[in-house]
Amino acid sequence: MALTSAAHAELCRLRRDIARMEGRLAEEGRLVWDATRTVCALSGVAGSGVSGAQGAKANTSGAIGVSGTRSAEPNAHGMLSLGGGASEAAANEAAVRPIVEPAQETTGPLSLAPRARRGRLKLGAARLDAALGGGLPLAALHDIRADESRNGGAAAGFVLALAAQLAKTARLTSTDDTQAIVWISEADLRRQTGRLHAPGLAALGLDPARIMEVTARTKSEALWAFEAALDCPAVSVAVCELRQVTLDLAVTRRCALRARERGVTGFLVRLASPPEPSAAEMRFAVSPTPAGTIGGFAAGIGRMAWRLTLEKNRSGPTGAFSVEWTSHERRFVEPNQNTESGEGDAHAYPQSLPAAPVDRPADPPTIYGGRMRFRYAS
Amino acid sequence: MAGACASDTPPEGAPVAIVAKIKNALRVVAIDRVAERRGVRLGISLADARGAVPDLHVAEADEEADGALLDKIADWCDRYTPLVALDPPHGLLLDMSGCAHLFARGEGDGRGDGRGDDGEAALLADCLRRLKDQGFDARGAIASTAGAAWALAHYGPGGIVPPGAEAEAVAALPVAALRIAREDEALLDQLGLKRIGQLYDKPRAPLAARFGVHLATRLDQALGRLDEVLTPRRPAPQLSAERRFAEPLSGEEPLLEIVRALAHRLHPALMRHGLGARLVEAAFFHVDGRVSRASVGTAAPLRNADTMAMLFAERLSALGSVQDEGDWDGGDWDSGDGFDMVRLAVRRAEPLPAAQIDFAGRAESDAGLTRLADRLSARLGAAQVTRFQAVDTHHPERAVRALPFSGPLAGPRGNGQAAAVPAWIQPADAEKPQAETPPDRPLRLFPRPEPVDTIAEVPEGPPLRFRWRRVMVDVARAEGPERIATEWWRPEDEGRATRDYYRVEDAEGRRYWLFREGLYGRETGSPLWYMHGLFG
Repeated sequence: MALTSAAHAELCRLRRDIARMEGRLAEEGRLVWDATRTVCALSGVAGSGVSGAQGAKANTSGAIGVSGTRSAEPNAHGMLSLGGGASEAAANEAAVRPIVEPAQETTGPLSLAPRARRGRLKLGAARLDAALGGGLPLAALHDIRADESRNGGAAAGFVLALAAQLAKTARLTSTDDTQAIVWISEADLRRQTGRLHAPGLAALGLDPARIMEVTARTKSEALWAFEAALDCPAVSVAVCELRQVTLDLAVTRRCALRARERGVTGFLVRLASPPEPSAAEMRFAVSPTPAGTIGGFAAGIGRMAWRLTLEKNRSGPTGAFSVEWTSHERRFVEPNQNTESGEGDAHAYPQSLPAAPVDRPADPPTIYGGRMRFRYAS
Repeated sequence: MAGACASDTPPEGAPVAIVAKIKNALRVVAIDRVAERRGVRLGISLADARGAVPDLHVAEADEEADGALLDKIADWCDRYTPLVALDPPHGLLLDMSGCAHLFARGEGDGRGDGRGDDGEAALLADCLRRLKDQGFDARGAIASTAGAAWALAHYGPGGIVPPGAEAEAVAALPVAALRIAREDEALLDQLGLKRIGQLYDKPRAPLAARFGVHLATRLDQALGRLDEVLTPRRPAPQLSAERRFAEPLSGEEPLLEIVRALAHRLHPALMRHGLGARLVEAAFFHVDGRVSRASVGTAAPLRNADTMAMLFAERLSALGSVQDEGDWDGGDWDSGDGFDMVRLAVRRAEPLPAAQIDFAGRAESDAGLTRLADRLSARLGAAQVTRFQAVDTHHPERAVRALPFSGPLAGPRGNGQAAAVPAWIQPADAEKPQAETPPDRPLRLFPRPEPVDTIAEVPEGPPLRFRWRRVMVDVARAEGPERIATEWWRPEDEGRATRDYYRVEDAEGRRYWLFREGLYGRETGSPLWYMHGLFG
């Protein structure tokens, strides 16, 4: 058993290395360990990298399917369990627990980023978090899209809100002080949508002193700058804002790879652009929606709000969501949710999930008609 | 060195004269050798010149072009010394203290008059030969004082004056060689004082009483009794390294290799002085006399040679694709004839303590945001990579200053500055219980408010619908007004009107920041509406 798992570990490592050398995203064999039983399961994420949700990741859903059957998780098709011994053990042992995979381990020796930058950012809106598999993956490339360029304000607002929440949680979880945000836009787009306005950013909860604003003359220059920013470990969020752009798949792959290696979260904001294949982890279509209310004052324009369509999701289902931003708490909420209760605070930390206890069953899995479903790790 | 005179290209062998309007008459200000031989003299009127030489080719003087040409020649002279001063209309003054010995062997052909330093002779010969190759007729002189060199170049044979021999070298020259006004010259002539040497033993007081201090000053300057300060065109760099090539070099890669090698030569010097470069300039001297310059600014003092070379690689590749760069004169980069010299100069430096190198061989300070900023600035231009600085004002357009992130204009950063610059107003932390407020400033601001056609309640109501960029927008909700008065104490706000800002949401949920300029009835009868920003 131990031999098999060692062999698998070796295989995974080799695959990653090859993928890195070829400059594409790794066909990621994630290795999941349970120390007590030496269970090794390999949850394969199909390597096309383009066609959207292809498999649930063990680290977030905690589901381990039995070989030959499909997992009960509605969107977790393609859930494999490789390795004979491992699958048997998994089949026999009902008490296989959700296992937390420290994301750090999947990154190679090139990783220079602080630990706090890995993992997922819990946004605070429960439905969206669940769909994202626990939160927005950090150290990854995301595609944010708006159908019309006049929705550019909404798309930018959403990205800035994400950056603000990331900045807040990073400040709580690490002492690392280099949390720069690089905002790159094309010159003619900037003429159309205006410059970033620092007092507005400050009101959102972002420190304007940490923002570097870059204007590029052309799209290719903007993408070059984006790649350079993703390659810099001192940057925590890099945003590239383009209008009417046709993506080059190779460029997005390079960007995604850099983002992962350096621990930078990249947002490719595309205005007036159709959905397109890319190497991004998630694709959101952002459209505006009437603002939320604050404290029951219905007539006023309150919280910033967006309607998000999650068009592509590598770690879960797609869907449509409405979210609001509370600059007060610096997190997202679902509309009409009362945030004054303090209930949401339990979710506000995007740390890696705690390891499962080894001496007792954590959460008994629910039985759905002969198939098992494990509770979400969060 | 002085006395450069452009030889233009009209028909071969034809007499040429340049004329300019002086006191309402066209007068000859420059002639070529053919015209001179045939009797045209400087200063005569055009009619006289035409009378003497009917087939004279005449061109109007273009002082601006002359100035630009002189500037270019001065640029080219940078190869001899960093301190080049203009001496319009036709001269250049080069301060070559400490430079001449570099030419002692090598390029010069060794012809000197044997009296001066070998290096000086070689330098002068080299300079004159190269200028001649470019088509300029130049005369040069080297002396310990600018005045003596000027006199010899303009009115004497040129050449080299050994130190201390200025008085005898200029004694035989006409008094005009002292750079004095024409009236003074005429007056001296009337007095029979035609040669500089005649002034040496004249009592100073009557001279000064008659001609003012100017003459005495000029005389003293020529003889070295009084110091003369040259004003160089460009400040001397703090450090520089250069390389000359026997054969012209072209192509981007070899040049970048040269730049890298020069950066490595600068490194020990920077190290020794405990400095890091903030502004580095590379000058590429074309064989045909043009000089192209490219400079790279950094956000933090930089010493690493490879980083410096990388920044220049970005800069040059950007210049290769874009031609309209301000600091890149002579736009056609790498025109094909090649370069014969490259110089890398540190134009601005700041103290940079020696960095601790960790076990992996990396200096700690070398990573990070500043290098990214440098790289982006080198490629995109320093003005394109900015950071925000708060300004103490409530006028929205002025509330933020965009400072270049790197380069000489970027000020120091960090905690030390926090006291001087007003801080941003941040929302209170969630830990402190406080009422939640909606955002009152937009995320994006148009640098110039855009006029919109608006239907609004008179006098002070919010807009009901407006047309912005040819699209009609129906207002679903509006909040306001937030009244922002002009800052009357600023001169630029003179005549501006009070603004009433409204936060406005359309039916689909886009949020805008609009304002009405002018108070109805008090400041204006028909207030105008503007779109100023977008909320998230």
